[in-house]
Amino acid sequence: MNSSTVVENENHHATRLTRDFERLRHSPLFSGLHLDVLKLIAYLSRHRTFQPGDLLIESGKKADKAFILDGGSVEVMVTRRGEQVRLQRLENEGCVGELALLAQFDWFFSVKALSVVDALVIDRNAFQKVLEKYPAHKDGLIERVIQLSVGRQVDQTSSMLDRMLPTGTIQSTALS
Amino acid sequence: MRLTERPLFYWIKKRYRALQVVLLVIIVISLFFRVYPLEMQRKIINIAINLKMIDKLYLYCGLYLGAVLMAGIMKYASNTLQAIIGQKILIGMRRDLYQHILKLPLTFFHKTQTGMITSAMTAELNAIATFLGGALAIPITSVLTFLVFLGFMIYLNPLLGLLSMIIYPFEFTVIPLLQRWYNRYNQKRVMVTRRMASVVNEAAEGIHEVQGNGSFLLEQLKLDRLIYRLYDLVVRLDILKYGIKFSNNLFQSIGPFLLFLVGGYMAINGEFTIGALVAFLSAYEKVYDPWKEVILYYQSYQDAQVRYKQIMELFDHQPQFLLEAPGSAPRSFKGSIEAKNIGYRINQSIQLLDDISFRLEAGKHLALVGFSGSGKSTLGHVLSRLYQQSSGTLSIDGQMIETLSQMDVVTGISTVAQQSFIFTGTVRDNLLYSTNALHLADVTHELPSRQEIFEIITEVGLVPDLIRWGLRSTISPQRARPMISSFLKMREIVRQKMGSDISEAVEFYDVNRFLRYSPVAVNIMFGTYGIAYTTKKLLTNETFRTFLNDTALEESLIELGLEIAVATINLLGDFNGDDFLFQGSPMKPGQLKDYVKLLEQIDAGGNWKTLNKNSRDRLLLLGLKFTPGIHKITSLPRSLEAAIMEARPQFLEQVAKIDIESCSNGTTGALQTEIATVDQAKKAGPAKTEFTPFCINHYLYSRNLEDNIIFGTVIDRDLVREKLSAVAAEELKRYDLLDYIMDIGLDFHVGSKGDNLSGGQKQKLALARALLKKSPVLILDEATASLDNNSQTRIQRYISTKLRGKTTVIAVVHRLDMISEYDHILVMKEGKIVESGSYDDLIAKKGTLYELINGRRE
Repeated sequence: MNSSTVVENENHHATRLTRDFERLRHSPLFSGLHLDVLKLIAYLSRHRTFQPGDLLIESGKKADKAFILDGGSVEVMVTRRGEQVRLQRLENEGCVGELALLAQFDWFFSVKALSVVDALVIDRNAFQKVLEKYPAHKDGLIERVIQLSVGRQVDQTSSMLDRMLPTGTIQSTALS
Repeated sequence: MRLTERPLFYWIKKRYRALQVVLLVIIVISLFFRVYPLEMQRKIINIAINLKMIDKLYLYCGLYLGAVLMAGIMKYASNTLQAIIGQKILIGMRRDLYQHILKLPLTFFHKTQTGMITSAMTAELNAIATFLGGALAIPITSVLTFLVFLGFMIYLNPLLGLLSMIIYPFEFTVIPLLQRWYNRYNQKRVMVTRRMASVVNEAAEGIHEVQGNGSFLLEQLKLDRLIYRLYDLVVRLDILKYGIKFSNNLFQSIGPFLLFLVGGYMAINGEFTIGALVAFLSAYEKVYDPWKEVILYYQSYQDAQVRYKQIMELFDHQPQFLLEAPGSAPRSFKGSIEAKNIGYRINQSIQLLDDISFRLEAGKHLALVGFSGSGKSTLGHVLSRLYQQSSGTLSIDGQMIETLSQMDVVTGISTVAQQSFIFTGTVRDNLLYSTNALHLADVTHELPSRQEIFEIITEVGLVPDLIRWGLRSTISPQRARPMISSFLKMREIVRQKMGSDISEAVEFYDVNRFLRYSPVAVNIMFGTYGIAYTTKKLLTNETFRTFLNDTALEESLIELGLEIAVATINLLGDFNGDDFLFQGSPMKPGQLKDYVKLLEQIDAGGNWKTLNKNSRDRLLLLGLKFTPGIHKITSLPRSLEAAIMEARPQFLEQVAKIDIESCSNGTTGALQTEIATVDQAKKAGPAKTEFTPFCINHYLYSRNLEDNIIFGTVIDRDLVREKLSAVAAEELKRYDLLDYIMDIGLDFHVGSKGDNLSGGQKQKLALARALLKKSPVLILDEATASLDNNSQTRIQRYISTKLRGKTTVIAVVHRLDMISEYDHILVMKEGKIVESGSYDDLIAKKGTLYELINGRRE
C-alpha cells in the first residue's frame, strides 16, 4: 500500500476520501497520525449534516460513535433536576463523543446543533477495526482519545466554575 | 424389546426380509455363472485347442463370455440391492432412535454433551449402514462360493483340491487374533473422536467466551491432547490393518506355489491335463475371493458392532413416562392442583425443595415469590413434570402426576421458561409449535384460526413487531397483486404525511435527481431489472448492453471500475477477506485476488482496451455496482454523473418504453390500466417487463413492502422505522391491510434459533405459543422478566382478566408490584415455603413478603 494514492487521485477530482482525509489530518483527535492509518479512518467515516436544533448525541442512548465537526457550532448539555444546563460550546473543528470509540456506555450528556453542522461520523466498530489492523498505533490512539477527553473535562469544569463563582452559587472551600 | 437393548442383528432380521431373500437368490444364481467360465477354460484348452476344433473354440469362448457378463451384471445388481437394503434399515434405525432420544428425561441432556448426541445420530449411524446392507447376504454367499469352488477343485483333482486347503487353518487363527487387537484400538478411536467432537462443539457454542477471553490457546490445549491421542491410535490401527493385509497376501501367494510344484509334477507324469491345471489355478484364485470377503465382512462387522454398542450405551436410558395411555385419548383436566410434602433432591444429598404443600382450585392464580436461589424455578419444573419430585405427591384433578402419560401432561400443562427456545423457521412455525405438535399427535383436530392467532399476538404485544416483519418482506407477485392498489395509495399518504419528516433519512425516487444511494446501474435504468435483481444478471441482458454501448457509457464505466479496483487494492490490499473493511467498495473481499490478477494484465499507461471481454466486463460490473452514497472508495466524476442523467430519459423512453411525464406525476387512478398493460406485455414478450421503472404508480416486485411504501432508498433505517411504524399502523388499518401485513409478517424467518429476533420478541413469541395451546394449567417461570415494563404490565393484565377462572396459573414472579393480582402467594426461602396466603393477609402480617416488598429493615 502506498500513501501517495490519495494525492494522485486529487489530480482527477477531489474525492470525498481526499477531503475527509485532509479534514481528519487537521482534527485534534487524529493530527500527526501515520498517513496509512488516517486514510483507513477516512475511508471508514461517514458524513452527516445536522439542522439547527438536531441532537448529535442524546443523553441515555447507547454511545457508539464519535463526531468530528467541520463547520457549525454545537453545545454540550446535561439535564439535571429537569433543567438543561449548558456545559460547553464547540465551534468548527472540535470533536465530540470520542470516548464512544473506546468503550460501551450510555451517553450522559447531549449535544445539540446550534447552526447547520457538517460532521464526520466514526463508529466504534470501525475504529476498533483500525486498531486491530494497525496494532502498532493502538496505544498512541487510545492515549490521544483519553487526553482529549480529559482536556474536555477540564474545560467544562472551568467554564462552569467561571459562570458559578461570581454569582455565589457555590463557594470556594477556603471560605466554608 | 427396549430399543437400546436390541442387538445389531435385530434390525436386520426384522426388516425387509423379502428384499434380503431376493438378494440371496441373485447371489446364488450368480455362483453358477462364476464357476461356469472355469469349466469352459478347461474345455477350451483340453478339447478345442488340443483337438484343433475351431467351431468348438468359438462355442466355448462365446459361452465363457456370456457367463462372465452374466456374473458381472448380477454382481452389480446385488451390490446395488445391498446398498438399498442398508439405507432402508438405517431409516428405521435413525427414526426410532431419534424418537427415543427426544423422549429421554431432561437429566440425560444435562449430563450429555450435545456434540456426542449429534455425532452418534449422524456420522456413526452412517458407518453402520454400510455394514447393514450385506449383513446376512455376504456371509451366506461367501460360504457358498467357497464350497462351490472347493467342490469344483475336488472334482478336477481330489488330491490337489484338499492340498490347497491346508493353509486355511493357519489363516483362521492368525487373522482373527490381529483383528481382535484392531477392534480394541478402534473402540478407543471412536471414543476419542467423539470427545473431539464435543470439545469442538463446546468451543463453538461458547465462542463468545472464547473470543472474549482470548482463550484460543487454552481451547487448543484441550483439543491437542485428543489430536495426539487420535494420531497414536490411528497409527496403531494402520499398523494392524496393513499387518492383516500382509499376512493375507502371503498366504495367497503360498497356495499357487504348492499347486505349481505338485500339479506340475503330476502334469509332467501325465496324471493331470494342462487344461485341468489352468482351470484349477483359476479356481484357486477364485476361492480366495470369498475368503477375502469374509475377512472384510468380519472387519466391518466388528467395526459396526463397536459403534453400535457405544451409541446404544450412550442412549441407554428409559423415557420416564408412557407416551400415551393405551387406547384412550388424553385426559382433559379442570386444573386443580395439590402438592403434598414435595421434596426434590439432586445427587441424593442436595435438597433443593423441602416439604412443599399447597392446594390450588381450578382457575385460580398462584404466585411464587422469594429470593433468588429459593427454589421457585425448581418448583415450577416439578409442577410441569420436567423434574420428578424425590418425595411427596403431586396431583392434578386428584390424579397422581406420575400416573399420567406424557400426552396427558402435554395437553394439560403449558410452560413458559425465562429463556425460551425459538426454533429455526418462520414466526408462524414457532407460534404454532405446540398446536402443530398436538395436531400431528391427533389430539386436536383444528389449528388456531388466523383471528385467534392475531388476538393472542395482540395480547402479548407483538403487533408492531409483526407489522415491521411484514413490511420488511419481499413478497411474490402473486401475493402482492391483489393488494397493489392499496399499497400505492399508502405510498401517496406516507409521502404527504411524513415526506418532510424523513427527507434526511430517505432518498426518494425522483426521475430528475441522481440517486446517491442507488447503484450506478439503477441510476441509468431508474428502475430495477427482473424479480431478483443482480448486476451480474443485468450484464447478460442484450438490450441493456446495446444501450450502454450506444450511449458510450460503457467506456466511462469501465474506467470507473478500473479506478475502483485500483483504489480498493491500494487501500485494502493488505486486509484480504475482511468483510467489514470492504463495505465502502463494490468489490467483495473474496474477489480481491482476482482483481489483482486482472490489473496485472494492464500496462503502466492504464490502457484497459487490451483486456479480453470477460475482464472488461468484470471492471464494468464494479462501475455499475458503484453506489456513491455508500462506497467511499472513490467519487463519481461529475461528468459521468451528468452523462448518466442524460442517458436515463433515453433509457426510459426507448428501452423501458415509459412516458416519463406520467411516470413521475401519474396518479394512482391510472394504476389499474398500468397493471393491465404490464400483464399484456408479459404475454407479448419479456422485453418490457424485465425493466421495472421507479414510477410512482408502479409496484416494485423486487423490493420489500417498506421500500414500496416509502418509494425511495432508506438511508437511516432506525429513524425511518420509528416514524413509519406510527403512520403505518394507522394507515394499514384504514386500508384494511393490517391483517394482510401481519399475515406476511407471520412468514418472517426468525433465523437460526431465532437470531433475527430480540430477546423481548423471542419471549413474547414463546408466551403466545403457550397461550395458543389453551391448556388448563399454565406455568410461567419469570416468563415476562426480560420484557419492558409496559409489556409486562399488559401481559399481566391479560392473565388476570382473561384467564381468571378459566386457566390455573402458577407464576414465578420477579416483579413484586404485580403479585397483588394473584389469588394466592407462596413465599419461598431456601427451598421451603415460609409464608402462604392472600396478598392482603401477608401484607397485614408484615412478614417476609412485606420485607421483600419494602426492603429489608436495618
